[in-house]
Amino acid sequence: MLRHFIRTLGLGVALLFVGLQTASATTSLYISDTEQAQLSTAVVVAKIQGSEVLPHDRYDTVMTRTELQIEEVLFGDAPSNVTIHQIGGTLGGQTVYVPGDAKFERGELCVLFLRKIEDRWFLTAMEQSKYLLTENSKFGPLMTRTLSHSLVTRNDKGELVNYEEPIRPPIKRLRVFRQQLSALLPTGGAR
Amino acid sequence: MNRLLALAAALGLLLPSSALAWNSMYSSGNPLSWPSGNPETSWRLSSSYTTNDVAYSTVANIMTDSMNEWAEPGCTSFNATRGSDTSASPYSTNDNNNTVGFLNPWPGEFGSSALAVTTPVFYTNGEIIKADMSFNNQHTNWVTSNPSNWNQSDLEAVAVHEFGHWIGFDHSTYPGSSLNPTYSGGTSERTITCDDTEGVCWKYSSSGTACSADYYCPCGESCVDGYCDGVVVGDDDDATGDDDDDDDTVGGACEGDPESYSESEPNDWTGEQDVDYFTPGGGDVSITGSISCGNNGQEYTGDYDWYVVDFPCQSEGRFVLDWSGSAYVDYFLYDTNGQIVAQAYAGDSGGAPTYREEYGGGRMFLLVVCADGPTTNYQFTFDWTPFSALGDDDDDDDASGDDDDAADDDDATGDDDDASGDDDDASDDDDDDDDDDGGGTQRRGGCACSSVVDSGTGPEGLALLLALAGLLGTRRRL
Repeated sequence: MLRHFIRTLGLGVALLFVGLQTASATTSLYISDTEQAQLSTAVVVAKIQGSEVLPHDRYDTVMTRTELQIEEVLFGDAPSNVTIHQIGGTLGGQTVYVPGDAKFERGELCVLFLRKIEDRWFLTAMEQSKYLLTENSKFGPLMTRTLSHSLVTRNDKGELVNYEEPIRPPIKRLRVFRQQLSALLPTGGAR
Repeated sequence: MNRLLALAAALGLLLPSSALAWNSMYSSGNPLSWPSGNPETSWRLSSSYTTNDVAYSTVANIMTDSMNEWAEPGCTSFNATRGSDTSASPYSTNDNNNTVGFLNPWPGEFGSSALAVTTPVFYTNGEIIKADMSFNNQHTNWVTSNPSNWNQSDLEAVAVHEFGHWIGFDHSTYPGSSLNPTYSGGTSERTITCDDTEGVCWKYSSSGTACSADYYCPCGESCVDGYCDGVVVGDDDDATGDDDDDDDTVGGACEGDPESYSESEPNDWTGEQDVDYFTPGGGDVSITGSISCGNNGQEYTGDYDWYVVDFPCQSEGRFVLDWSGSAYVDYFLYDTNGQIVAQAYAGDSGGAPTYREEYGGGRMFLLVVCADGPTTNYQFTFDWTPFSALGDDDDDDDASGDDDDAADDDDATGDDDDASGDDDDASDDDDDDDDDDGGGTQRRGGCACSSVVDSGTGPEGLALLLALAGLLGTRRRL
């Protein structure tokens, strides 16, 4: 019984460890979920439909386009289907790597912070903008995030220092997160 | 619940990618590097993608200095030179330039919070084809000294960091920003560290030892008279068969003098730094502490004693918790993947759990908890092969009664440990831990401390921790 319970719960927390083996060539400022939501066009629950890598149509590099099916808009507004753009990917045997950017797998259910610039959707803050959703029998949907790249913040002198995440839940409950986002706007965010 | 999550947070944040300070980027298991045998490469400053924050010539000098930092240690052959300026963009991955430039507008793909991005292009075998470096010139004001307001970033501090990635390194995690509050930020990151030196000398090695500062030497060495530790040749990549070279990732075997460590409260991980963290020299380690207990045998309602230990060595280990009295003291030992290396319940039969897999060195997380009884003093021992401190040997510590698997005869004690598997004979050896005939570990309180080695537990191991320490589940009472 205990082992069953352990295994069940283990699935819920396993993702906490996924991806910790990597970091990045990116130096990013840490932004809180609240700040990130305010920078975003929408915060959504989305299912990953698939990705494709192709030559970038604006820059002389490659890009990855990932199709999202929006399951729920938690904040802001977004259509039912969104394509997000990321620089990087493997094409023709060569990999253009943007460490610190989020990676997606088909079928994943995620909470994503999305920003629309002109006619194109992006993650608001690369890897910081993706929470993976996993169902947990005890707590309901849990949000887990891997911050593998070099996050910095500013100290009270304005100097850049390594961001040290305080000891607080990296595993968020979707229900609580909804409430947090709803409090951001007078009208409430979720629909 | 909060406690559960706090523990999860702490674990998640403190799990490093390895015990190494530096980390290489990898492609399909191959470390990224510029073509072997010819580490010398060049980078080019974009004359079209510039910043108005810092004069172009100053930018050029800063970039040159930043890259040269990585070529400074005498133990590395790496050298990168500044090539002619280019009009190319730093996001063009289809040219042959290794372009450094400033972007405004900053690509939406990178988000506004990124200060700089380095984009290596590489083959599956890890060979870097090219790498561009982009600085965010839309959302950041670059300065050449300590920033004086919130929109400013010191260019050289970021550039040194980025050039480290440019040559194939990932972000360094050791000793870990989560536990080491000494990162001073500002302009102090303009120089590499001894850890960076170890990394660049691993990836692009040379036999030299020349140095101009301590941080151009491997960690633990000092720059004396222009050479690391004063040794002119220094490196030990010789043919003597020893292993003193600098290619080691985690040092050698766990050998050396035994060490003791005493608990320093608070180490219950409820506060930012409330955890005992230390790096032993490499020998056996004995931790002593005191644990208060729950009172119903079902929950860990008392103290949580956490220890994070970075072992600069690799070996096969045995882990034993000793205490006296009637308390139900348990422990859980995790590796950096959150997997349980060993665990022990007070009520279990069996003996000291032995980590049969080759222990690759690095960080381990120890949690000591208690479910019932009075406040109790305990001792936890990391015992590395050859096992000597605890007397017994080669137990399987399982309940099956047999012992001595075929692979476990690593010690020099001359006991049974045969390949036949059984050790439940009538002989007077004490190879198993199932009997408390006095020849085994000095476990007190009439409790045999452990039986389970479950390195395959995987994430469930963490869940177990959470379930037990986080007041979620009921404790197994035997």
